[in-house]
Amino acid sequence: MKNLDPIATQQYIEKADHFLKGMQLAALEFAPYRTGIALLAVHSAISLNDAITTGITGKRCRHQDHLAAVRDLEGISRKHRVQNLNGIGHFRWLLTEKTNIAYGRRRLDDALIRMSIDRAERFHSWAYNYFKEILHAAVGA
Amino acid sequence: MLRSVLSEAQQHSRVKNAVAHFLFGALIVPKIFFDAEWPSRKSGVDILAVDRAGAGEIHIVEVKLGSSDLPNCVRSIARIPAHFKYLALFGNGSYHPSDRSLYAPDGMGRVGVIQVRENRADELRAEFVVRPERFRLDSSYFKQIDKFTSARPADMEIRP
Repeated sequence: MKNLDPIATQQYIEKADHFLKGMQLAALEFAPYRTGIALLAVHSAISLNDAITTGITGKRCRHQDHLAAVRDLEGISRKHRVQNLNGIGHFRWLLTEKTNIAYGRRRLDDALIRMSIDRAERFHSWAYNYFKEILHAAVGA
Repeated sequence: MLRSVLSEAQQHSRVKNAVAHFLFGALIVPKIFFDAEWPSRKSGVDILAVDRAGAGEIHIVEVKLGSSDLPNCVRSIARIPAHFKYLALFGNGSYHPSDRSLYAPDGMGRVGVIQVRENRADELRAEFVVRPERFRLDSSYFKQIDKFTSARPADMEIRP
């Protein structure tokens, strides 16, 4: 896998890091940041997906339909023969919950927030495991 | 309280666990290995952490309890190939590392110092006394760390 836009990839990785670390920091206190934690989880995954997509295609995913971004990632994964597709499931779950988290009128329950954290962290782990060449080159490691 | 009934080996492992937990929170979804044969089978480190699920930078930690020969430990750590290197201390309250010994000869890199303390509830807490600075590392070590991480399952990681 060759990275077609390592600079943009690096910028999206940096955003993903900020969202993920913000999520983890807020989760230490939890109660005052509940909804923010879940939204940071979603955005950490979106930014990391942008890093992968930009690195592989040279273009950022610009779909308004969130699930189209999932389909794109799934297509990329299959094309590059990624055996483990768990990350697609984590990403789909986070994007499906995004509208509820950001705009829903009901209070989010703790289980959903904790699941958001879990899904976001597992999505990051999946991405770095299976798109190592793309993300590795961009982080300069 | 428990500390007095534990052997030195048990206490050493307990401190390793606390430091690994601390690093796990500080890095981005790292893979962490205890007692890792790094950089070769002839040498080892107490903790090896590879950031970003194995795709990122290499961190190594040596844990020292009590009054070991700490200046010598710092020199040994400085020779181990890694981007970030740490000396983790427990029960060495009087040791203050001299700034010069922590730095790489070319100035690029500083060994970090982590202090581990036990609170009244017998919980271990780790914190930076000296924050690490990144060392220069030959790119050949990336292939080596890839081999290492694919050959050995991590002791701590977020499952994808």
